[in-house]
Amino acid sequence: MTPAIKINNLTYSYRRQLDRPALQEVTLEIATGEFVAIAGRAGSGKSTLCYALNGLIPHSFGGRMNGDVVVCGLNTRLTPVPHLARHIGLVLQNAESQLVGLTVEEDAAFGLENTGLPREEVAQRVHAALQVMGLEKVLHRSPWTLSGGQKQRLSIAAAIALQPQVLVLDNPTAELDPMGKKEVMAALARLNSDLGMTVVIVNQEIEEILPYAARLILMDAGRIVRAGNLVEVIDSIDMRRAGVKLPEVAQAADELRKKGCWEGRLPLTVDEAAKKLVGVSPLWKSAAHHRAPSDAPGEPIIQMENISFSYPDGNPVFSGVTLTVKRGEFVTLMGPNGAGKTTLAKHMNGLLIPTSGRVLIRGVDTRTSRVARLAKTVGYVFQNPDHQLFCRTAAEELAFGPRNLGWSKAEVDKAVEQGLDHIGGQIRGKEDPFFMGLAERKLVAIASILTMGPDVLVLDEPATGADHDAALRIMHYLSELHRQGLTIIIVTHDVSLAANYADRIVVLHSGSVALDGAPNEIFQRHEQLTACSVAPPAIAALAQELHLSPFTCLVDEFVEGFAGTT
Amino acid sequence: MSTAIESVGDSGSQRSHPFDPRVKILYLVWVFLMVSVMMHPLLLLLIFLLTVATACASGLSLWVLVKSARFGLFIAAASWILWIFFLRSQGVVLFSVGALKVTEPGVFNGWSVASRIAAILLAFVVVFKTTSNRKVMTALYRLHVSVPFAMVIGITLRLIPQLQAEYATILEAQRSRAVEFDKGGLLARMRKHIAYIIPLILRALKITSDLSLAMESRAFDPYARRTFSEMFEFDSRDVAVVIFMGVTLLTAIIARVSGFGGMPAKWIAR
Repeated sequence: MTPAIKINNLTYSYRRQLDRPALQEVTLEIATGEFVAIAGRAGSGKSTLCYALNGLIPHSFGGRMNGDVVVCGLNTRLTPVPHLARHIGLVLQNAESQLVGLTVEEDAAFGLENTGLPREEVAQRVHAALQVMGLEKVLHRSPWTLSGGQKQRLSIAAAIALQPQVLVLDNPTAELDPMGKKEVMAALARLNSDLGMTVVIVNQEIEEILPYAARLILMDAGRIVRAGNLVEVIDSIDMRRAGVKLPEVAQAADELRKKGCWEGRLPLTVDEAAKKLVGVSPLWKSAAHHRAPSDAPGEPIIQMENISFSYPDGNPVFSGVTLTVKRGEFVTLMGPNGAGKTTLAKHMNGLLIPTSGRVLIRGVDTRTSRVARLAKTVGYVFQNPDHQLFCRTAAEELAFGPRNLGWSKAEVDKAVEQGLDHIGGQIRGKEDPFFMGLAERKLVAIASILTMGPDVLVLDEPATGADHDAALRIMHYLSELHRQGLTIIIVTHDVSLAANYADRIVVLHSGSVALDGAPNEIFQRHEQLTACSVAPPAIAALAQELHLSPFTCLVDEFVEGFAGTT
Repeated sequence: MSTAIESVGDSGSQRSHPFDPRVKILYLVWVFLMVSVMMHPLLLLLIFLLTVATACASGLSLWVLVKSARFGLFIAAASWILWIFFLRSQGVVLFSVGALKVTEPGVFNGWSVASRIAAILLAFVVVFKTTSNRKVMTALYRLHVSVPFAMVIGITLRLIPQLQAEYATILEAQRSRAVEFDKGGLLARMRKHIAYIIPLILRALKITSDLSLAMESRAFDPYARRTFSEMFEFDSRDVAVVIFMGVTLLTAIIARVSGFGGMPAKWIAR
C-alpha cells in the first residue's frame, strides 16, 4: 500500500533564519489509516513539520527546503496548497483564529466553496461533516458562541468537509478544558476508526493521546529523535531528553523502577498500574510528612461577599459567590470553560465590579477604588503575555508598572533590579521580550507585575501553551514566590499543576462554587468532579483505585509510600 | 474573549432582511453619492431622515444602532459643535450660549457635515448588521467587484469584532499595570496609549497571519473559480428600490449641475 505520507531527508529553514534550520534531515513514513502522535519541546520543529505536510512550506512561508514531502502521492513542492487541501486537512492550535464564517454552516462550507464544487454537493458535504463532528444542531449559530471544544470540532469539520485522506492537527487541544479535549479526541478517534482517515496529531499531553495513537514520534532541535510504538517510545530515555512529560502513572512507575520497586515495562493507564500494584497496596505508607508544611494562612486579603455578575446583555456569569482568600494561600480556580473562572479572577483587582454583592481587597471595597490603586495589592497576569508586553527591553517592561504608580527613579530602579534577579539577571534586562520564547515572555510578564510589590498575584493559565520544561520553570518560580510569602491565585485547567502546587482548590460550576478544599480532599470526590467536567490527576485516580489511605494525588508521595514494598 | 465578540459580530444580530444583498450594497453607495452631491441642509436632512427610516424599518433595536454607530455619531456631533464654534462670528446670530454666539452659518454648515457622517454611518450599520459576511462577499462578487477586494472586505468584517475583543483585553491588561489612560497631561496621555497600540498592532498581525494560514489550508485561492452557496435573485421590490435610487441620484446630479441643491449663499462659510 502507498504510504499516506512519505518524507525523504527534509531540511527546511525559514526565510529570515537560513543559517538555523527548523527541520533537519527528517525522514518519515506514515501508513494510510495510521493514528500518529508527534511530541517535543517548543521550537523542536513540530509545527514546521505540519506546515510542510500541507504545502504551506515552501509555498507560503518561502525559505529554503531540501528533500521531498509526498502526501497521498503528491509532491508538496510541485502541488499548489489549494489542491493539496483536498487531500490533507490542517487544524491549528487556536480554534478562534481559524473561524472564517459567521455561522457554523458558513464556516464549514468555506473550503468547499473555494474548490468550486456544485452548490448541492457543498450543502451535502457540510451537513455530513457537521454530523460526524456532532455539530448538526448548531448549524445556524455563530461560531463565536460555541464552547472551546465545539469551536475546535468545527475547525475539524471544515477540514474534513473537503474529504481529505489525511488530517494533521497542530496542538488542537492545548487551549481546551478537559471536556473539550475529550470531545475533540473522541471525534478524531471516530474519523480514524470509522472513516479510515490518517490522523497526525501534535500533542504535548501524552496522556490525552494514549488511548488512540499507535505510534509516537519525538522531535528535538528539528530532528526526529525517536519514532515507534507508543509503549516503547514512552519507556525510552529519549522522552526525558526531548522534554516531553511522561504520563503520570508511567512517571510514578519509572520512579519506582529507579528504586527497584517496579519490574517490566512502564504502564500507560491507571488500570495497568493498578493491576501490578494491587498486591502491595496494603503495604503503602503515607509519605505526606515529606511535604514541607505550608505556613498557616494569615488574615483575609480578598473577601468576596455574595457577589453576582452579569454582562451588559444580561447574561449571568455567576451568582451568590462567597469566597475568602487569606494571606499566604496558594489557590487554584478550576472548572469547565465558561464557568466564570476568569470573570471571577477579574473581580479580584477591580477590573470587573460585581453586579451585586461586594469585593473587599484588604478591606477596601473595589467599587470605591480604581484599578491602578488596587494594583498595588493585587497583581494580575493575563494568560497571553502578548496582551501585556510592549516595551523594547525587559527592564523597561519591569519599570512600567512602578512608574505608573508614581514611584521615584531610585525606587523604580531597585524594583527592576530585584525583578531582573528573579528572571535571569541584568543581561536579560537588555533583551527585547518580543524575541523571547513563550516561557521567558511569561516570566517577564509575571516579573513586570511583581515589581509593583503586590501582596497577591492572580495568574490566568500561567503554564498553558508552554512545553513541559517551560511550564516547570514558570511553576517553580511561582512556588518560590509563594514560599517567600506571596499569596497566589491561579486560574487553570491543569489538574496536575493544581495537585502539585496549590494548597487549596476552588471549583466553579454553573455560576457558583461547587467545591472548595485541599487538593487531597477535592481529588477524592470523583463524582462531583466529573459533574464539574474536571478529571482528577491520573495518580489520584490510581490512588483511589488502590484504596490508598490516606489518599494522595502527588506522584512523589505515591512513590515514597511504595518504596521498599516490593 | 468570545463574550465581547458575541455582542458585536454575533450572527444572531444579523436579522434576515427582505432585500437582495446587492440592493443593500447599492443603497450604501447611493447614500454616499447623495450626501456628496447635495449641499443644502434641508435636502441633507431629508436624506438623513430617510436613512433613519430605513434603520427603523430594518428591525434593528435602537440599542444596537446606537451602540454600533456610537463612535461615528460622537464624531458627527463633535464636528457640528466645532463648526458652531469656528463660525461664531459669521452671519445671523440665532442665540447665544454664554459668550458663544450660535450663528446660522455655524449651525447649518455643522449640520451639513454631521448629517453626512451620520447618514453614511447609519446606512453602513444597517447594511452590515442585516447582511451576513458571506452575503456581503457574494453580493460584491455578483456586482463584479474583484475577488481579492471582496475577500478583503469580507475578512475585514470578520476581523473587526475579534480585534475589538483583543483591544478590550489589552486595555484590561494595561489597567492591571496601573495605567490610567484618563489621567495626566496631553503628552503623558498620548504616551500611555502606546501601551495598547503596540500590542494591538502585533496581535492584529498575528491574527491575520493565522487566519491566512487557515484560509490557505482550506483551499482558498483568490483567482480560482468559486462556488457561492448563497442564492439570491432580484424581485420586483428590489427592482423598484434600484429604480428609485437611480432616478433620485440622477435628479440630484441634474439639479446640482443646474444650480439647485447647493448651500444658500447667506450660510456659506467665509
